[in-house]
Amino acid sequence: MTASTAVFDRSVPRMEELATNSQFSGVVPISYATVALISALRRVEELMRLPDNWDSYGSPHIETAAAQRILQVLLAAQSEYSPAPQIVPVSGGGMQIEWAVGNCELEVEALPDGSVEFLFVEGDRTLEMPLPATQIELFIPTLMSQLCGTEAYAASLR
Amino acid sequence: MPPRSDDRVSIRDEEDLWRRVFPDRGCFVPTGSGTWRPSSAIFLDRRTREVSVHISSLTTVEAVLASFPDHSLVAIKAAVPRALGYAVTPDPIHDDPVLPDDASHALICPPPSAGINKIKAHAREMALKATWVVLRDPPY
Repeated sequence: MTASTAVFDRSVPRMEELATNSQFSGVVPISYATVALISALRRVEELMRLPDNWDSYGSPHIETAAAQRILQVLLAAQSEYSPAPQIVPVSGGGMQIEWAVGNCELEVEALPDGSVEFLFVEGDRTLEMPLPATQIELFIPTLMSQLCGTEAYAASLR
Repeated sequence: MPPRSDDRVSIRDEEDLWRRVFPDRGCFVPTGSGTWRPSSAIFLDRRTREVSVHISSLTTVEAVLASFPDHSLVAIKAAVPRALGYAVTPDPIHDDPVLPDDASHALICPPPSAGINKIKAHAREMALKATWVVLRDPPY
């Protein structure tokens, strides 16, 4: 049993990590978190420590609203079949998650005000749209299934 | 803020525009062939929507990286953002409270008509067409 499959085995004690960073408005309990998710959460915390002017062009630090939204996206995207995300700071105070599988890419960006936009790329085709916060739990798994291959992703959610 | 005007006289299409790349592993995207490209996030700025660059003919690599020895540096031709409808305009910095004086500073500005539904695709296109001037080895 691999570490990632172990988290779906109910005989294995739950992995829980509490986000206690005071910059967040609450505790984020994570049950059955994959190793990749825990790593991603630590990465978000790391980027939250960037100071003003981190990009050398006068950007403010990463806004808490953006980080909270990125956490929401990461939780919605969590699956055994999800590729490891690349998490990038964005000038202006936002943050972006990037996934790539074959000729498909998904970029989900949390803007400084907490709004979300995504870009899905498949070969030469692109789809770019805002994503309302209330729709994240609905649309992110759909986008991930498109990215990873529907059958493999759906199997991971069963 | 009124839209910035494109300045094709001061900045020719063939001009290389340089942008520093923050030394963070997320900013470097592996291409699968052992090389790296800059993340599309390098060509986004959500504060003003205008992306700072340096007009290469007015400066040097050493000057642009003087205070940022760990940063990498990418270049795109001015024609690239212009082909996407962006304006490229000089924006020399003098007496800024945060940024050092820089006569080579310029801005890549989205057209006012550009909706939010193309900004990310455009940033990705610029990143795909960027070339490394200085790539710290290994980046991360």
